Parts: sequence; structure tokens; C-alpha cells
Amino acid sequence: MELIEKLEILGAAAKFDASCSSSGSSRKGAAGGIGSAYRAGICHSWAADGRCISLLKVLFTNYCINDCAYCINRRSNDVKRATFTVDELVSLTMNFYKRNYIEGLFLSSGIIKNADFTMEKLIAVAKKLRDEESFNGYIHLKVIPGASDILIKEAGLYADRVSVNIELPSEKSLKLLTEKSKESIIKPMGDICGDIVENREERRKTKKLPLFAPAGQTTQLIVGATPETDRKIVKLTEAFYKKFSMKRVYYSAFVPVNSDKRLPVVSLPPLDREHRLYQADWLMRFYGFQADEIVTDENPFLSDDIDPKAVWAMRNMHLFPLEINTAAFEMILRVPGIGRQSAVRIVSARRNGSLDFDDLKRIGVVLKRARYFITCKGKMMPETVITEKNVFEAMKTTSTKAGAPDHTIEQLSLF
Amino acid sequence: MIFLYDGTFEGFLSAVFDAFSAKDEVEIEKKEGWQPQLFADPVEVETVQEKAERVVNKLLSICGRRGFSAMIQIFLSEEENAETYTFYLIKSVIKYGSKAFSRFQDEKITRAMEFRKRVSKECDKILGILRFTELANGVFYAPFEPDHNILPLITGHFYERLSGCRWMIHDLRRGIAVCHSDGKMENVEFADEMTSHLNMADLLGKSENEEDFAKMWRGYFKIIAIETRTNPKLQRQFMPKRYWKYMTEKKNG
Repeated sequence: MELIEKLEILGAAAKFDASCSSSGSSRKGAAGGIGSAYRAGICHSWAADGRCISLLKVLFTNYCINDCAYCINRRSNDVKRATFTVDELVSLTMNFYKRNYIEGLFLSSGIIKNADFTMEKLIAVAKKLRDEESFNGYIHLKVIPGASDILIKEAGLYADRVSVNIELPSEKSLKLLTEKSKESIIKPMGDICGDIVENREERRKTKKLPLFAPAGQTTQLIVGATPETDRKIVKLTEAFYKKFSMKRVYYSAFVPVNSDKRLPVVSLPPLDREHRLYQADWLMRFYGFQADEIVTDENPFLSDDIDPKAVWAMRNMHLFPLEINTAAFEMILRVPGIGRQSAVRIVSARRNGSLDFDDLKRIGVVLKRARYFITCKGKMMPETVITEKNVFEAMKTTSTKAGAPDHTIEQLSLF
Repeated sequence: MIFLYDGTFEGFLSAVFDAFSAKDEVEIEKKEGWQPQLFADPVEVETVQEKAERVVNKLLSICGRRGFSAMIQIFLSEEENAETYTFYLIKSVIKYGSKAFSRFQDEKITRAMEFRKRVSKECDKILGILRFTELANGVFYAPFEPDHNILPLITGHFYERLSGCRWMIHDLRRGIAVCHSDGKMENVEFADEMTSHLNMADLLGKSENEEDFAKMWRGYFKIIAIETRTNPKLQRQFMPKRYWKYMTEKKNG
């Protein structure tokens, strides 16, 4: 089989993995070598679905001994199969990298023979890139559930980031749709977390010790294939951040690729829901929110119409309005219409003198939303009338759905 | 008062030095292309290395490398009156210290910082979407046409990253280029103005394998998209069309 055909099969087979991030590592290039790692990560292209392409994201092979209901590569599917050789993947990575197509390699795989055999293949690719090609770019290795701890330890020495996909938000769903046990997924996560902590401690004593997974670990779960609530997912996400110090939790809107009576029938992936979950995730990572503040037992699903930050603010009107010139940074962060950058700017700009609404506008605050929650020098913005209807309308109309699909073209093609 | 300089960064800094104690409002503009105005009596600034260095040292001592590089970014933005805004920011920094950068109460500072943001945004974008082509002579060649004059701001990144390659990055719009070989980076001297705007890939030809890898990249780019999520608007939002011309996966549609 020609290399281009393999690449197309094994790229297509990897496309449902949401993660493509190349952030979290900072590594200088070596003289005469190829590659470096850029702390914030770099996006190199955007595919037709608007998702960023940062890493060459492929499977080592799409042969698999498992038969998970939602997975396009399950063994009972009649799809074209292929397997890379280590050399082919190394050559592709190096040549794409030198042309600045990619930031590095994200390598995952179907399971061939057993978990350890597969994991060894992935490690062999990373090892060859690092040791023989002096490759200093980004490497993300997927950990195959069930791989032995010693292989995970080795993977983390060559990779910037490692990840084990939880896939589904509950044990019951895992049992129903996969051949994986929750134990086989959670255990390596715990091991990786332990390895990272241990490595960082030892490095404090011996600086020369190599970094284990400098960009940490991530995971991913599928949204909408099983009946769990948003509350369940947000709480699970919070637990991953708190217990395993995960760098990111990715959500992947369920795209039906197999017909299977265990799966729900949907025509389009639940992109709006995925988008809201990402907003909730951001609130926890960058805005100091707890899961319980975002989704409650009474309202276990995120709102369709209004983003979760605004929902929280509307539920807590008694905490507002905030005086922008004196309020704490943590509270300013919670005002709808004020993003993280604006909040930082407000706090540094007010040291130079008090701020009014024109200043806020220049800073980048979306006053259309924020006006209902703030005062400047003790005054509300002129013509601000707080009624339930006004606030609701303002929160609703400006909600941006960047992740939502654009169906205009499909619709036009009907005529 | 209007100060005209020779278009170089040193020239601009010399103008800053000369204009600093001017009482009236200062405008700094390039000599080339300046349209004489009624009642305007511009000062032609002489570029003096020593003056430029004094300005640099002063600024570094007040706001450090980070602050100084913000000024370079604003200068390189080539936005309308960029030099005058840079001068205004420099004056403010000397008066208020680093705090001046967050004086959003001041419209001119906000505008200057907006220029800075545009430049750094374009830098970030270009670090990702710049594409190198292997030429027949083994050099990896990257042509581009940035909105802002960012070539000097991005070469450091590739110097580190592609240390093992000979490469050349070429701003075809401004006719300037930087090349790298064996750890040495230098500005390319073109034979004449016309050559400086020519795409070297057309001139020198591509390596034997080049088309194979380009083809594989285009193939990969196509299949990695999820059909049921197709969203060309979102794609264009991240990757504006004006940059497609030199992108392997996007040129020719």
C-alpha cells in the first residue's frame, strides 16, 4: 500500500480524537537539531470543520481486537485497515515538521495483539524521533488501557503529553458500549499522575533528571452517546482536574458512525451541548468556578439559550452590582461581558485613576452584557433598566456559538 | 511639529531623541512618501547611532525587554501614524514608568496597544501557517505577505526550531528576506528591487520529494475534517483567506 493511502486511512481513523493541542511544554531547540516546543502551543492549520490542526494526528494501526459500539475502528466493522511502519511515521513527522505543517506528532492506535504490544510500537516511534532524528518537537502519546506501568513510565520520558481516554462518563455506559473496564482506564491515569508528581519532586533534587510528560496528561469523553447529565460530566471533569491534576478534559460530540442498537439515533452531533460544556470547563479552569456553581441538582443540564457564566450571574443577582473601581479581581471575572483579559486590564488600569464606562469600552468590556452587573464611581450606566426581561434578552442575544456548525452552505445546495 | 526620518528603526529612534523636548505636538513620519503640506516646516532628522542607543538604554532601564519589544511591535505595525503613536507611548513610559502600558484611560495609548495586539496576533498566526518548500538546492524556502512588517519578529523562532536546516523566509510584499545556514542568520541582499519580489520556488525549482510530501499533506488536511461538523465560516475566521496563497493545503482553492 502506498504511504499516502495509509496516511489517509489512519488519519481519518484518528479524526474523532478532539485533542490536538500542542501546549504545555517549553523546550528550546538544540543546535543542529530539529524542533522546539512553544509553551502556548501553535495551530498550523484549520480543517474544513473549523477545528485546529496542530499535530499530525494518526493511528499507528486501525486494526483492533476490541469492538466498542461507538468506534469506527471496531473489529466488526468492514473498513479498510492499514498499519504504519515505525520508519514511515518517523519520516512523515520529520518531513511535515520541517515544512512547518505541524507542531509534532499525536500518536494513538487500535489495539493489536494486546495492550503492551501496541504500546511498545507507539514508544518505538517516539524513541526513534528523539534519539535518532534529534527531534525536539511535540509528541503526544495515547496510553493504551491495560498497558503495563513500566511502559507508561517509558512513554512519559519521550512524550510531552500522555493521555488515556475515559471515553464515556460512567461505568455503566462503559460496560454497555465498550470492552474496557473503568478500572483499566482510571488506574493508568492515577499512575501517570503519581509518576509526574514523583518526577517533579526528584527533579528538585537532581536537575539533570529527564522531565516526565512535561505537558501533563489529558483525557476525552464522548458527549451524547449515553444518558448522563451535564452535571455528571462537569463533576467528573472537576474530579479529573482536582484528583489527577489533568491539563485538559476534551469533549467530543457524538457522531454516529456505526448503526448499533445500543446507540441513540441522532442526525447531527450535539455541537451546542459540546460548546456549552467547553464553556463550563473554562469557567472551572480560568474563572475560579466550582462545578456545583455551574450545574445544580435542580438544573442538571446547561442552558441552550444562555452561557453558563451568565446563568450563574442571573441566579446570583444579589451579589451585584459590583463597583468596578474597588471590586476584587475574582468577582470582576464573574461578570458576564468581562473576559479574563479585560479583568486583568481593569485591575491594572484602575491603579492609574478611576475608570468610567468609556474606559471599560476601550478595555474591551462588552457593555451590552456587563451593564446590568456593574457600577462605575457608584453609578449604573445611563439608561440601564434592570428587569428580568432586559437582562434575559441581553444575555441571550450576544451568546456566541463559535463551535456551532454553519449549515447555510448545505441548505443552499438543495436548490 | 513634524520630524522626518529615513525609515530605519535607528532613524526613528534618532527622531525620538530629537523630538523629545519639543513643546508642540509631535508627528514622526518617513521621509520617503511624505507629502509637503502648507504651513508645515518639517525637521529632517539625521540618523545617529549614538542617539538611538541612548533611547534604547533609557527604555530598557524603565520597562525592560518586554516593554521595549512592545514598542518595536507598534513601530513595525506600519499602521497609519504608527511612529507617532510609538513616540507618544515612549513619552508616556518615560513620564509614568511601566504603568503607562495600562493607561486605558488614554485613547492614544489604547490605540497604540491595539496596534501591538494586531502585530502579535499576526506573529502567532504566521508561526503556524508559514509554509516551507524544499527547493532543488536543499534550502527550505518560505514566502509570505504579512500585513505588518513582522519578518524581524519571527526569525528567532525558526532559528531555534530549524537549526538543522538551511532555510530562507521571504516577505514578498516588502521585498526583504532572512536566510539561515549552519547557525548563522543574515539578511538577504537581492541583486535589485525586482528580484526581491520574486518567488524563489518558481526561480530555483523544487526538490525531488517536495511534491510527494505536499500531496500527502493536502490529503491529510482533507480527511482530518469531520463531515457532519463542516463549518467553512469558522475555518475562515481562524485562517483568513488572504493568507491562503502560500499555504500548501489551501492554494489553488
